[in-house]
Formats: sequence, structure tokens, C-alpha cells
Amino acid sequence: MTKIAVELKHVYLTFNSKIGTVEVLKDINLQIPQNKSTALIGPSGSGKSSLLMLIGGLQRATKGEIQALGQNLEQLDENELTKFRGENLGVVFQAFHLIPTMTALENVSIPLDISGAKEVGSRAKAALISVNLGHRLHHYPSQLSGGEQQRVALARAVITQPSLILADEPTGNLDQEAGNTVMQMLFDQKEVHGSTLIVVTHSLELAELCDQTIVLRDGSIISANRGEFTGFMKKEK
Amino acid sequence: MKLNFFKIARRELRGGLKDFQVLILCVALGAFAISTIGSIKRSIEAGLEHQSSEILGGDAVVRLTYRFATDEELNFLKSNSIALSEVTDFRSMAAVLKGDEVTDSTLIQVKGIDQYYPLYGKLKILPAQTRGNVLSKTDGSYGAIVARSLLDRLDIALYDHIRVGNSLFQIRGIIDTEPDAGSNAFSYAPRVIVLNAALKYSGLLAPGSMFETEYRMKLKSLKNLERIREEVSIAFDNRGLRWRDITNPSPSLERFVSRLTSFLLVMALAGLAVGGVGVALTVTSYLEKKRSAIAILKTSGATEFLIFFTYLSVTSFFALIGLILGSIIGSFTIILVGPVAFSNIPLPVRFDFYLEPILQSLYYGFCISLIFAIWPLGRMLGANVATLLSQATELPKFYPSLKYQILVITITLFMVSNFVILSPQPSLSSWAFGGIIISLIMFATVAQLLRFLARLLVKLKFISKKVQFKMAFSSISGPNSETTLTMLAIGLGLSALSTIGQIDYNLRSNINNELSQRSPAFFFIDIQKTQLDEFVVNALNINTVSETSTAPMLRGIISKINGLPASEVAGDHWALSGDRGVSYAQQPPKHNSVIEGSWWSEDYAGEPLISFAKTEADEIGLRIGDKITLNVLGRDFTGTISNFREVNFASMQINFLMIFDTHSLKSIPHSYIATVYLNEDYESKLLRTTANKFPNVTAIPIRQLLTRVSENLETLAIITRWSSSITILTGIIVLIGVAINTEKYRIYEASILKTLGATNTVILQSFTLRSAIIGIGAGFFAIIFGGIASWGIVEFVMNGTFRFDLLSSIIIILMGLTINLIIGLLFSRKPLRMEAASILRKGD
Repeated sequence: MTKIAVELKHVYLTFNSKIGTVEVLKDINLQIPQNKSTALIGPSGSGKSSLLMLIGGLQRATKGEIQALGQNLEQLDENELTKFRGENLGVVFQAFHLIPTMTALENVSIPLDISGAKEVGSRAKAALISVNLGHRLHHYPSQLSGGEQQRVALARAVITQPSLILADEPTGNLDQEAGNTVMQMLFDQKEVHGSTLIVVTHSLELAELCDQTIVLRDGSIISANRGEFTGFMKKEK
Repeated sequence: MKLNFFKIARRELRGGLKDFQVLILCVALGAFAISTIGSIKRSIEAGLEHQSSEILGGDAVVRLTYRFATDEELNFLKSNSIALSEVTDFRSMAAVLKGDEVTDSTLIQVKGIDQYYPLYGKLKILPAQTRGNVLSKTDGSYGAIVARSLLDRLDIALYDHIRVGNSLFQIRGIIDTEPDAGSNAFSYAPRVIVLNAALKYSGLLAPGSMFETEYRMKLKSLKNLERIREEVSIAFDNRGLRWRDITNPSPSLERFVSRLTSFLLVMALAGLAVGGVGVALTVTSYLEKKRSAIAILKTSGATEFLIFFTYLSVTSFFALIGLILGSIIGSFTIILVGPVAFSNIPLPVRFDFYLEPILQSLYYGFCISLIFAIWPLGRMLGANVATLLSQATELPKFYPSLKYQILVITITLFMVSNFVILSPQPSLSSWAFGGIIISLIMFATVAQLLRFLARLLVKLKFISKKVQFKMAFSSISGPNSETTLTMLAIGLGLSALSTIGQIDYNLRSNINNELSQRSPAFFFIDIQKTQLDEFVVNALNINTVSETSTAPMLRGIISKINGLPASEVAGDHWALSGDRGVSYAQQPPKHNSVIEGSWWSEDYAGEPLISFAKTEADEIGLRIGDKITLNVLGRDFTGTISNFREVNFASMQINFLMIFDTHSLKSIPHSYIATVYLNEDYESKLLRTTANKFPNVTAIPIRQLLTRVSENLETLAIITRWSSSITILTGIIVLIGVAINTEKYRIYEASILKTLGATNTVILQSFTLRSAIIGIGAGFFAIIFGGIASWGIVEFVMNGTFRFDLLSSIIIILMGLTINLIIGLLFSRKPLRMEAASILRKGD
């Protein structure tokens, strides 16, 4: 029987704004199997990134239950959530989000520093070498290209060998070639560490590489299988 | 329609106020300080001008030393005035008697007046009464009106008696207002006013005693002032008179006020310079937002000149708002607060709205705003369109192109030279300006050093394994670091405080320790020759008297040098200001060594020879063989310099600028000066026995005077500390500006760290550490720069020995730490509170 890494039950996310209440996610119910890759797709504003943030405990749901790796995230306080992220999660963002005052090596070291791991320097160095950045260890983010920055972010996301890797449009800011390299590495790392991967993407090619696809529209899941997804994307186009 | 900078600037002004709040506050504070200090100065000047006749005591005054005017001189003065008042002034002792025994005594400043006093203003007495017969002889004794401090010091009451010299006076009133008090209002010795007639029998105005007489003239018309001055100088030629009139009634007071305010003005300019950092910060962050607008203007064919003037106009507009606000508020603050703040200061102050300080603050404020705005503007304009459009890319160079550098340097030089030329103390001003500029450069440099050190330290294992340390050190060393701006913002203010603290400590420790330990307990003056031997025996009979020394003393005015008027040769050297003590001797004093020329033989009886103090001789430009004419008691004595002595006037021993050979001055009426060294516990006994046996002798208590000097220095230090607080306050506003501008980076970092598993505690620790390190760094370097500056001042300007004050240094470091920590932590709340997703998703 397939183990479940993430499960959401009747999850809602709403915001109050000047124009009234905005429902970002409505009655989300889904299961994401462990050690598999899942693509979250949908048009802009469909709520896919918000869903990823909820799964990562980076945002609180308005209503509903979120189970990730056996933990009910809604029952954890801020510190417990932070600890959960540090121990189990690796996140890759579209805009890389490296700390600009730190070199590539320092950026990659942070999760290990936080967890109090040993041999931080050598492990961080190895992680950067594994993403072909052995020659950029002491460069600041502003001195790296977009593709290189995303590879640093990737190395940072996987350095603690997380059970769950979340990637929010990781190739969105990259050209085709750099995007392909990053995606290949992302899948490689998933395989190496046996992690569960959830990717938010607009890329059909990328979605097709995943084991499962979830399609969102207007805050609701409209499909959770490959055939419907392909048809949907074609229709959207 | 053709583009013009005015049109674009007008559009850019819309909604710009929010971006320029820090700039407006910074320049407003600087302008406030300059305008306040300028207004105080102008108010005192106006007060002195308005009450010049009262302060002087007449329209013109002729002052003589040790003598009264002759009948011929009096007739001359009377013929030139509609009223003439004779006033004597000298130091003496007020003694309290029990029977015939003196129980207590203290130094006083006696003013002898006549029936015409005061020619201008009113002498107000408490309890309220007209002067009438208050001072005249009733029930066997003359009356005296005294400063309240005398009653406190001698623990006596109204209508008690005091003995001054040989005469008894009954205290019949307390001085409420003395119109001609001038700088004497700050004197240690309490004022006692009596009738000149009463002093006749006191024995205090005997030949050789030290007193001054003033002949105060009320003129028919002030138009005649210059003519009368010339006639007096001809009629009194070689008679040792000093002339003063309402055009400059109290030069010493005016000089003091002018020096103090020009020093405070420099401090205010330091505040304005720190405000300049705020200007640079605001302009930089404003232009960052305008990068794409500037790029589009460039691509649309706008010239660099047009863009430069557009954004300089926008900046200048907001700077002017701040400057006008600050300078006007400063002026009005003085009008409102001045009368209360100055109520206990006996100075004639006329608080009013003066334009000059406002214009002055606008001028300096605008220059500083230009200097600090042109630099970042030049940098931005130097970038190409591609760089400008790429928002994430930092500007390639720290320096703008050469033309902007030249423009900045030109404005700086223009402003500095202007200030220095207009300053009453050009030398102090140029040093202070140099100090400000060097400090700013040094703080920018050490900020880089601190960043470099942080970069090295972050590699150390014990630092890198703690994420808090790693975060703190890498944010200090990395791009977008607030280190440089923070150092510039608070460094200068802390340096100023450090310098003041070190100088204050050195001066006071010098006075309280060294001087008070090696100084005599008393200087005794007005000892008559017939009393000298008995005086010494009396002193030596007191327990613990370890040493006494005596010397003959006369006072005279240096009137000519080599036959030329002394002021033409020596300018305004202190040796020429008023009368100086001179002595005669057969042998050089033990504590003075002759370092050039030769001393005369003991039996020398030829033409007058002079031994002159070496340092002062060098300052005036005197050489061996030069002739000095000294006016003593209205007679000119010309002597030839035969040698130079090394004299340390700070040694608290009997020292003279000039010593004549014995033969030349011995026959002139004179008195003696003596110093007595003894234990503090026996001082009052010596004072009592001296007052009993020698009523005419005046004792100057050195310990009390040193305490008074120490107190005055403390007051000055407090004033300067307050004035430097404007620099600190401006620095704090700049820091807040820095914190506002860098908050987005902290929020961003915090969000990433939260995503990576860092708790709020860890993030807060990292922010705290960062603020603490930069704050301590600023304090540490402020101590170094302040220490160097104060060392230079103490060692080379004051000729003292510098000692490092650890306590004030610790306070400076704590201040740097506290200021930066509080602001850092205040602006940490948002980064800690923000939900990571809302920040990180924005970037996507």
C-alpha cells in the first residue's frame, strides 16, 4: 500500500481585503503519495502556490486539516512549525530567495547550521559541487546568473536530505536550457534522497515528468490525473 | 513640447514627501541648531549693544592703574563731559569680627563709587530702597551693599558689620542689579560696593596697593566720541591710561561669547554633516526608486544636465522645506525659551527675531544638502541605461564621475573657507572642520575595515557553526550592509562626545590632582614692605607651613616696543591686554632658568634691564636687545631685554612676564606678593591671623579658585555636550532612516530563514548581534578618534600630559551599543511578525 506524505482535508484559505473576502482555496481535499513527484498546475491565480505554502506550513489555512509527514500542521505553534520545516522540508522558489549578504557556500550551509549538524562546510561544498557549482563557492548571489542562483537554492533545499521537497515554479525565471538543468537536478536529488517532490509549474514538459498531476482552477481542484490535466492545459492554451 | 527640468521636477514632486521625511528631519535639526546658537549669539550682542553705556558705566571710560587722576587730568576729563564719575575697583578681604578678633574672612571685589554713580542704568538694592544715604556714614560706620553670596560665605546677615582694610562697614543692602557688572558677574569674589570717600581711611588705596580707577564720562554728544578719544590719547600720552567706549563696552565678555558660540556653531555643523549622511541616504533610496524613470528619460534623449537639475531641484526643494522649518523654529524657540533659560545668567540679552542666524543656517544647510545630494545623484547618472533598468544590479562605482567630484569639493571648500573667514577663531574653525571631514572619511574607511574583519571572522569555525553569528557577521560584511551608514550616522557624534569627555577629564584631573597638590594654599597680595618680615614670621608660625616665598610686585602696561606702540608690534597678544605684574630681582628666580642672554650682576645700577619670559617673547617676536616701555603709575620706564627665562605660568608659583633689575624699580612705590604652602586643615587659622595682623593684605584662596575653575569647566563641558547631542540626535534620525531603508532586507532574510527552519529567537539573536557589533564598533572607533583628537589638544594646545579616561570611553561604547541596539530591535519587530509566504511569494 502506498504511504501518504501529505493529506489535506476540507482546506480553505481566505483573505479579507478592501473589496471583500477573497477565497483563494476552497474545500481542498487531496493526498500526495510518499517518495513520488506531484505537479500542481493551473492558471495564474488558481491558488497553486498558496496550496504549496500551506503544505510547507509557510502559511496557515483558514479552515481544514493539513497532515504532512504524519504531523497535523494546524496543531503546531510557530516554533514547532519552524522546527518541522527545518527537519523535513526543502523549498525552492521561482525567485531563488538566496540571502544576498551570504556567499553561495554560506547560503547552502544555513539549514545545516540551524539543525546543528556537523561537517557543515564540507557537506555544503559537496552539495554545491553536486549541482556543478564547485567553482562558485564564494560568490555572492548578485555575482551569479539566474540558473546558478537556482542551483544554489536547490543545493540548499536538499542539503538536509528532506523528506519533502517543495518547488514553486523553479524554472519560471530561467531560460529553457537552465530550466532543464535545474529540473533534472531536482529530480536527481529527489531520487538520491528518496524525497517526496511537489512542484508548482506552468511547464507541461515538467508536469509530464511527475508521477501525479493536480490541476487547480479558481481555488478548487478540478482534476488529479494525467489525462484530464493534458486536456485542461490544451484547453487553457 | 521641449522638456525642461522645472516641468519634470514639478511632476516628480508629487507624492515625494514620504520619500524625503528623513532628509527633511535631518536638515531641519541641523538648521535648528545653527539658528538657535546664532540667535543666542545675536541676542547677547544686541543686549551688549543696547546696554553698552550701562555695561561700560558711561559713554567713554578712562582707566588708570594704581593711581587716581591728577587735578590736571580731572579738569581735562570734566571739560569734555557733561558728567564724570570716579569708580575704584580692587580685590580685598572682608573680615567678620568678634570683638577685635577676626573669626572669618573672604576675598571680595570692592567697588568704590561717588555720588554720580551710576551714570547709566540703575543700581537696584534689596530690600528695595533708593541709594540715598545707604552708603554714607551713620552711627560711626559707612554702609556697604554686597552680593548675596558674601552673606552666605561669611554666614552673616543684613546690618551686620564687615571689616575691609582698616575700616568697618555695615551691610545695608544686597545687590539686586549692578548695571555695570559686565564680566565681573562671573567672578569668584563677591562684589562689595562702598563710597570712595569711605575707602580713604581703609589703607587699601595706599601707594603701591593694587587698585584701578575708572573715570566714566557722559558725553554731550556721541558724535564727539572719536575726537575726544584722540584728544585724551594725546593729553594722557605716556601716562598709562586705557580707553574704552560704547563701541566696544566689554571686549572680554564679547570675546568669550563669540568664542563659545563659534565653537558651538562648529558642533552644530558637525550635526549638520551627520544630517548630510541622512541626505545622501534619502537621495540614494529615492533615486533607486527612480531608476527606470531615469533610464527612460535617458533613452528619450534627455541630457545628463537636464536629469541632474531635475532631481537636484526635487532634493533641494525638500531640503529647503526642512531648512526653513528648522531655522525658524530655532529662532522662535530662543525667543520663547531664552528669557527663562537665561534668567539666572547675568548677561544683557535681548531676545528677538534676528534674520542673520536664519540666513546663516539656510546657507550652511543648503551647502551641506548639495554636497551630500550631488554625490549619489552623480553616481546614478553615471550608470548606463541597461544597469538602471536592471533593478537588482548594484551601481558599479562608489564614486561619481570627476565633474561631480569637482563640484562637491568646490562647494565644500567654498563653504568651509567662508565659515573660517567669518569665524572669530579661524584656526579653531579650520581645525574643527578638518576634524569633521577627516572623521567622516575615517568612519567610512573603518566601516570597510569592520566589514573586512567580519568577513574574516565568519570563516572561523566557532562563529560559522552558529547560525546567529553567521547571519550577523555576513550581513555586516555582505552587500547592502548598513555598516557604513551606521558608522557615519553615530560615529561623528560619539567622537565629539568622546573628545569632550577626554578633554574635560584631563583638564579637571589636572586641576584637581596636579595643580591643587602642587599649588600654594594662598597667594597674598598688597603686603607692604614694612610688613613683609613680620608676615613671613607669622606664616611660618602656623603648623604645617612648609614653604613661603615672596617677591616685590608692581603692575604696569606695556606701552611701547622698540619705540613703536606695543599693539602695532604684538597685535592682540595677551601680554598687552591690561596691566601686567612685574617684579625686580638681583638673581633669577629659583624655578626660572635663563635660557638665552645673561642675567645682570647683583650690584648692577645702569640703564634698566629686563628679563622676559621666553615663550611669550617668541610669540611677540622679541629679541635680546629689544626695548620695552612699561608704564607704571603713569610713568614710562624703558628697559632693554638682556635675557629670556623659561617660565611655566601653569606651575602655580610666583611668576612674572618681566623682571627688571633691582636698581630700576626699587624706588617706585610697590607692594609684595607671597605664596604660602600649608595643610588644608590650617588654612582658616592662617587666614584669621593674617586678617587680624594685616588688614590691608588680600588673600587669594587657590583651592577655592581651582574648585571654581573646575566648576566652570564642568559647565562648559555640559554646554558642549548638549550641543553635541544635536549630532547624536541627527545620527539617530539617520539611523532610523537606515533602518527603514534596510527593513525590507531584514524582512526578506527573516522570511528565508523561517523557511529554512530558523526560529524567531534565532533570527532575533542574529539581528541583535548585528546591531550590537556595529554599535560597539562605532563606539570603539569614536573612542580612538576622540582619543587622538583630545590627545593632540591636551598635549600640543594645552601643553598638558594626556591621560586616557576609561570611564567616559566605556560610556561612549555603551551609548553606541544602546542607540544601535534599540533602533535595530525596534525595526526587527516587523521581520519577525511577517508571514514568510507573503514575502517570498511577492518575489515570484
